[in-house]
Amino acid sequence: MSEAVQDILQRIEQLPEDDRLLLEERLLQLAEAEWKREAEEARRLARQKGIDQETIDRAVEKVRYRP
Amino acid sequence: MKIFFDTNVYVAEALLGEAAEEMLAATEQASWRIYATGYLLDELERVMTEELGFSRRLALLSRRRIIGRAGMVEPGASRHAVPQDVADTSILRAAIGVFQVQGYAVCENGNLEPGFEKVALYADKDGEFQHSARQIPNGQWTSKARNRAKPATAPPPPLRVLREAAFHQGLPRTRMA
Repeated sequence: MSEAVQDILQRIEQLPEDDRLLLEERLLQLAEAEWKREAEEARRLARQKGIDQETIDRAVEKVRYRP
Repeated sequence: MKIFFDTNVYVAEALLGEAAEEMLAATEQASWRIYATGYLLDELERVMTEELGFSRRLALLSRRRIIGRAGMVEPGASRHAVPQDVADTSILRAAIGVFQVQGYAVCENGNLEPGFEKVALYADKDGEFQHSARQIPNGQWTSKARNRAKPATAPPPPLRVLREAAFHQGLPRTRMA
């Protein structure tokens, strides 16, 4: 973990409770927005590759029952 | 109502939208409780990245999203045991449990995976759990029992390998004493 990340984590720990809750809420919103952007791009790629529910079911089965 | 969606529902939600997305949205709207397990999260990541070739970033964001909307549960140890199976002893299950509470999850192999810390559990000649080894960033294994790094190219076959799921879930990183 870099010093910059450690520094940010320390600052977060020192925040008052209300600010921490606000920060957590904002981070959740950012993560949700990022997931939506990534999912949109992934869905475009999935259409190009011809991925459908059957492809996904087979991939799960392959990972789950891999010898 | 309690709901446990299988991995393919979450993968379909991310990659297809459509019915899977509507099903999850309807479940949340109805205030039904959704549950998931660490195994499901690991499987989701492997399916998205290794099998279907999508980015680890999307898999990581999907994992976090599930953690945010679902109650995390872990199934208890199986009531059934196979006495002849050295990988199915109560001692090994307890050892795995110790690592699981530290944020590790059982994984498939001891290959080096950037971003993950792995531990391997080893047995003695009678098949009883003996010691654990931790993978260091260059892929070698270090163990207090051996007190020196062993080359990654020819490690003895471990009973089980676990990787630190907590690191990827953004949870506090913990280390075994």
